[in-house]
Formats: sequence, C-alpha cells, structure tokens
Amino acid sequence: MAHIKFENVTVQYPIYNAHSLSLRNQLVRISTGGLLEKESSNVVTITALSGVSFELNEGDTVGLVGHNGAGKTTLLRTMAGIYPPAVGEIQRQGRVSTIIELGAGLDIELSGYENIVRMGMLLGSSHGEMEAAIPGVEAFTELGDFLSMPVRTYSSGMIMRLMFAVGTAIRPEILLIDEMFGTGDAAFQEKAQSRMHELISTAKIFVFASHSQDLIKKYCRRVFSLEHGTLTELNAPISVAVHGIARTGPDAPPPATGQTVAAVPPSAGIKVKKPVGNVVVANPTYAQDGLYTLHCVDFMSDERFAKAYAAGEATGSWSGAAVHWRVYVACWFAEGASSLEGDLIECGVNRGGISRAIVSYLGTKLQDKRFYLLDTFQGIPVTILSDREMLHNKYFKENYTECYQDVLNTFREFPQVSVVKGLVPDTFDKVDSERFCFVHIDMNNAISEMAAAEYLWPRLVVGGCMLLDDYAWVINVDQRQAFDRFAKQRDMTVLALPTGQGLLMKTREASDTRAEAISNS
Amino acid sequence: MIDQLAALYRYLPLMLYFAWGDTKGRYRRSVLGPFWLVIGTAAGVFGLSFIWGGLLKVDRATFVPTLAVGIVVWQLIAGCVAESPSAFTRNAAVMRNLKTPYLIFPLQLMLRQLINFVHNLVVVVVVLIVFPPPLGATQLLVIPGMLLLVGNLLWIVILFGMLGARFRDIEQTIGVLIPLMFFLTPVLYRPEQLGAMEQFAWLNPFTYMISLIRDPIQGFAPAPFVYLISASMLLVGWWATLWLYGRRHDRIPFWV
Repeated sequence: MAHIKFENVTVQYPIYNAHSLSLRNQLVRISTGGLLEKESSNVVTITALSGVSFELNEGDTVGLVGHNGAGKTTLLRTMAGIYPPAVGEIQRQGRVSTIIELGAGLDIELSGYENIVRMGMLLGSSHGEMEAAIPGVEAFTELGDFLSMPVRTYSSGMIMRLMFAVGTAIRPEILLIDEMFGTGDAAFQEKAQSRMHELISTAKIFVFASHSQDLIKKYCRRVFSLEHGTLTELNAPISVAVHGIARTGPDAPPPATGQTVAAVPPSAGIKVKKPVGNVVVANPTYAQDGLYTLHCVDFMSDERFAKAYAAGEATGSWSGAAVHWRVYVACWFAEGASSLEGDLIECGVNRGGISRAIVSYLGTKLQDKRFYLLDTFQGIPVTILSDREMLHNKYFKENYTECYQDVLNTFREFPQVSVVKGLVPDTFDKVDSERFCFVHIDMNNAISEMAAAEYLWPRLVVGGCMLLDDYAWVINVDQRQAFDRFAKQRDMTVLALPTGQGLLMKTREASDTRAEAISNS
Repeated sequence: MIDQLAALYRYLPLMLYFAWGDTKGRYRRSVLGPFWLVIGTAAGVFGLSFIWGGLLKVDRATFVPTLAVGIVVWQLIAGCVAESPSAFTRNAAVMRNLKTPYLIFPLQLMLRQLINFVHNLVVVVVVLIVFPPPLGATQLLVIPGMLLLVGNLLWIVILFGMLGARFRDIEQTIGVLIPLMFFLTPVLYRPEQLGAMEQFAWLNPFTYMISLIRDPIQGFAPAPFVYLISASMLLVGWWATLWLYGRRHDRIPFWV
C-alpha cells in the first residue's frame, strides 16, 4: 500500500557560506561573547518548500513543474525522506526508489554489474535480490559487455539507463525521478515508457519532475506546479482532500485549479462553525469549493437549495465533492433569469449535476420554459483542444465518460428539458428556441465555448446572463483570454467570481446588434 | 538513536559489502590487492625497528613486538580519526539522493578500518612468532581491550563525522594533528620509557587505547586505571554523541 501525505510541510535549509562553515568563526563568536554574531554567523536559511500539503495514493502519477530553483528537487528529496521537514507532518508508506542526481549511489570505479548490486542495496534490497535482478537489468539497459566495464567509461545516457533499470528493478512502490530522466535516446525512452506503464498499472506512486510537457502529458495524471516553494495542483483528481476541507468537484473542469493549498488559512480546517440545520453537504466548512470565507452562508441551510443540491449530487456529476458555492450561484442566476422571456441553455453538461440542481431549485418557475442541455456526453474530442488544454486532457478523459443514457434517465420526468447530444456549435441546429434568458457554459475548451458565446449572446434577452463555469480558474488561460476578448469587443468585462466562475450580464440590446454585425462580417 | 542503531543491524551486510568493496576498489588492478596494506605495514615495522633499534640500542626481543603492535593499533586509530570528519561528507551524493540511514556511513568507515586492521594482524603474528612473548591468561585481556577500543572509536567516528560535516576546518585540523600525535603517543615506545614525562603521556587518550591492546599481547596486564579511564571515555563519549546526534541528526543531509 503506497501512500504519501504532506500536511502543511515547510522545508528550510541552511546555506553555509565558506565563512560560517569554519570553526574559527564559531570560536570568534564564543570569545567575543556573541558580539560578532551578526557577521560571523553567516547562515542564510532558505525556505525551499512552504506550507505544502497534498496526498498521493496508489496509482497516482504526478508531474512536477516549475522553474529552476522552484523547489522540485527539494520536494522529491522530502518525499523520499531524505530532507526532514522543519514544520508540518509527512506520512509515507511504501518502498521508495529515487533517481534524482545522475550517478548518485554509483561508484564509478566499479563495474556496471557491481554497481547494480551496490545501488540496489543502497535502495534497500538484499545482495541476493540484486544478484537475481541482474538479468532483468541486463536486458533492460542493453548495455551488453559495457556492464563489465567501470562506470566511469559510461556516457550520461548509459548511466541514466543503468540507474533507471536498477531504480525500477527493485520493484519500488514509490518512484521519484528528477528531470534528467529526459536523457537517453529514443529507444530508451520507448523502453522506459513501457516500464513506466507497467509500474503505474501495478498501482504505485510515480512522481516525476520535468520541463517537458510531452513527457508529463505522457505519464502523469496529476500536475503539481511549484513556485517559490509553494505548491499548486493544476488538475486535481476527484477526491483530493486536504484536511478534508479543500474538496473540489470534478464538475468544474479543473476543480482545485489554482487553489494554492497553502493559501487556506491554517485554522480553516479546524475551527469550523457548523451552520445549524445544514443539509447541503456532509461536512460543511467555511473553506470549500475553492473558497474560504467568514461571511454569512445562509444558503447552506436553505431547504430548497439543499434539495436542489442533493438532486444534482445524485447525478454523480461531482463525485462527492463539495461544489455548493458554484451551484448556489448558478441556481440564483437561473432563478433570477426565469422571470424573463426566453429559455435556458447549458453547454457542457457532463452528468447533469448543475442542470439537475437548477431544475429542482426553479421548480414550477420552469414550467413554461425549455431547458436545453448540450454535450457530447462522452468527453471532449482531442482535436479541438489547444496545446495548453491538452495538458489536462488526461484528467478530462477520466472524468468525462459516456453518460448520455444516464442523463436521459435523470431528466426523463421533466418534459421541459431537452437533452441534445453532439458537438457545439453544430448542435445549435437542433435547438428550436431563438431567445434565451440564462446561458451556462462549461465545456473546458476555448474553441467550443467561444462558438457557443458567439451564437448565444445575440439571442440572450436584456437582463439575461451568461455564466462561465471555468472562467476564473488559474489554468484555464485560453478560455479566459478568449472571453476577455469577447467581452472587450462588446464594451464589457467579465465579472470573475471567487467560485472560479465568470459572469456576463446583458444590459442593452444596441451594442449587441453592433457586435453581431461584427461577428457576422 | 538507539533504535536507529538497532535498525542498522539490517544494513550490516550492506555495510560489510561496501567496506569490502572500498578496500578492493582501492587496490583494483593491482596483483596483490589488499595485501599491499600488509606489505606496507611490514615494511614500516621492519624499517623502523631497524633504525630505531639501532638508534636506541634496546633489546629487539621486546622492542620489535612493542613497535609492531603499536603501529598496527595506531593505524586503526589514526585511520578512523583521520577519516572521521569526512565520514558523511564523502557520501554526500548518496545521502542527498537515496534514503539511507545516516549511521551506515561512519560504521562503514569503521568496518573498513577493521578490515585493514585484520590484514595488518598478519605482521603482528609474524613478529610474535619471531619474538614470542610469555604466553598466559593475560593475553585474554586483549578481548575486553579490543571491545573498549572499537567502542571508543565508534563514537569518535560518529561525533567527528557530524562535526566535520558542519565545520569544514575540523578535517584539516585533524590532518595536521595526526602525524604529530604519532610521536606524542607511545606507539614506537612504551610510556614508562618516558621517565618523568610519563604522566603527560597518560593525558593522551590514545595512550590508553594502545595500552589496552599492546600490554596484554606482550604478557602483562594494563593498570586498572587504564580500564577505568577507557570505560569513562566510552560512557562520556557515547553520551555526548547520542546527545548531539539526537539533537542534530536531522541537519546532516543539509550539512554535507
């Protein structure tokens, strides 16, 4: 059972310049009664990681990105247990194998064979186990007779092969690899890839620092970004829970997006005022769905909302994550818009969590309306994703699966709801309505969302609103830029909500016709 | 630290393999291998006994065994002490990149020195065959002597390993002091031969370490105070080492 858990981990290390490493200065310090302390104790303390929290379970593959000096290697060393944390707690289970520095653990005077045993033993295997592992390493490295030669005659690519072969031959449960993994020719990369898949399929933890987006895309399901020692998860999986509070839903595309875990005030998870009569989520806190707040949250104990939320949750769209803030915002706007002329439409439905909540929340107010739900109901075709969006493709693939029949079943009892399967904007042909009061866009890619916005904005009634589920999430750069342009062309700006949503309200018709003219030309 | 030491038991094969690998590695591609060590010691003992024996005009039958045992024990002591400040720093690459118990490095150093020591014992055996000492039960005192010696060297290696990693001058300082100590310590001679200066020799901890081994081999028991002081050194030394290790072992990977 491989498992790593970091709780608010800070790693600091002293940098001794030549000055302070010398005993003389310590003696001077003592003999001068500490007067020279300031000059002589020239120890600079570097905070390499600050307040890092995450949890890795079996099967997690993590790509570590960040600038040089951002703390990637320190994080790997801390995960391996080499560096102790100054603050915080680390739990680790499972046999660790590290490939951090090229050549570390090898004795260059000894032969390849002797080094296989040597490095394997340093990683915790017995002599006998390593002897037995030699044929496997021989076959994997394809170094042939070179294995009988001293390692000092090897090229760096050959050393990489040897280290990788040994590091994986000991059957690690947790494999930590630093960026130099990119070394090695195409043939090695191919072999390494199949070995990686083997490891990943046997449900182990794999963490890998790299500057190569290709490699990260290839191997990693989760991406951690380090900046100045602060860790941000770029595409959190469904059930990441930090203190059990920062749960975020899969419904909003990259749920924990940009959620700097360290930014959650330390007390957030502990001092929870439990709202009386709360029925929305099982463990309500003031730090959920990407938010931390001290403000009034009466909606949490509103029975109508609780029912709506429960209905949405029952669709399985959120996989148990707490997304009540977002759902609340969506319900509020849908209700407000329902008094206007026109219909409701959602582009990007997945299993219909938010739309089901809205249907429930609006109740009879939806009676004379239509609510169109547009989605492929089988994920996003990769061809329309930009390079940047591709980085999160793996995540989408896993969370957005075939669900058409389920969605049909969910809304079977609501004749007002039309479920339209296909790719936006092609599917607008199947939407009969020409006027809309509420538009919800959540398609996790800029091309489709722009097409939807261009089509729907002119058809939005004055007073109606367009709610963008992905707008303010840090990683959704493409979508944000596209909507900022879209708004600018219409003399507006998008309201970025703390929930990660973006909001556009239509306040006048005139500018709109102009914009329509522009977009049509 | 105690439980860490206990956990090291698992790593014993690793440490032995590495210590032996280091020894082999040093004499790689030479015909005689580690026996160069023995030849070196033998040449030293022979040369010194020839010159000093001539200079001092002493009885070779007692002088040569004194010198042979003295040199072999001194080599063990000096080897451990001189290398102790680099026990951790020499393994910095491993310590920073692989999760290994820190203590295997000083212990590996100790084991390597013991391997050398065992090789060198060949010289002692040959000398003792040529100049046999009076055999008796006294010789059994070598066993507690050896335990005290190794026990003391062990804390020295760990303590100075830590200090040497933190303060880089210590290695240089010890490098300078060791040759001097060779002459200040009764290696080539016996403390009694110093006459009025003898009491100064007993201020030197190394004097005790050598007496613990050499006296029983030559057929007389060391004075009780030798054991008393050695045992005190053992206790105080380990206490200080455990204290420092307990407080600061977390910092070792940052120091190296």
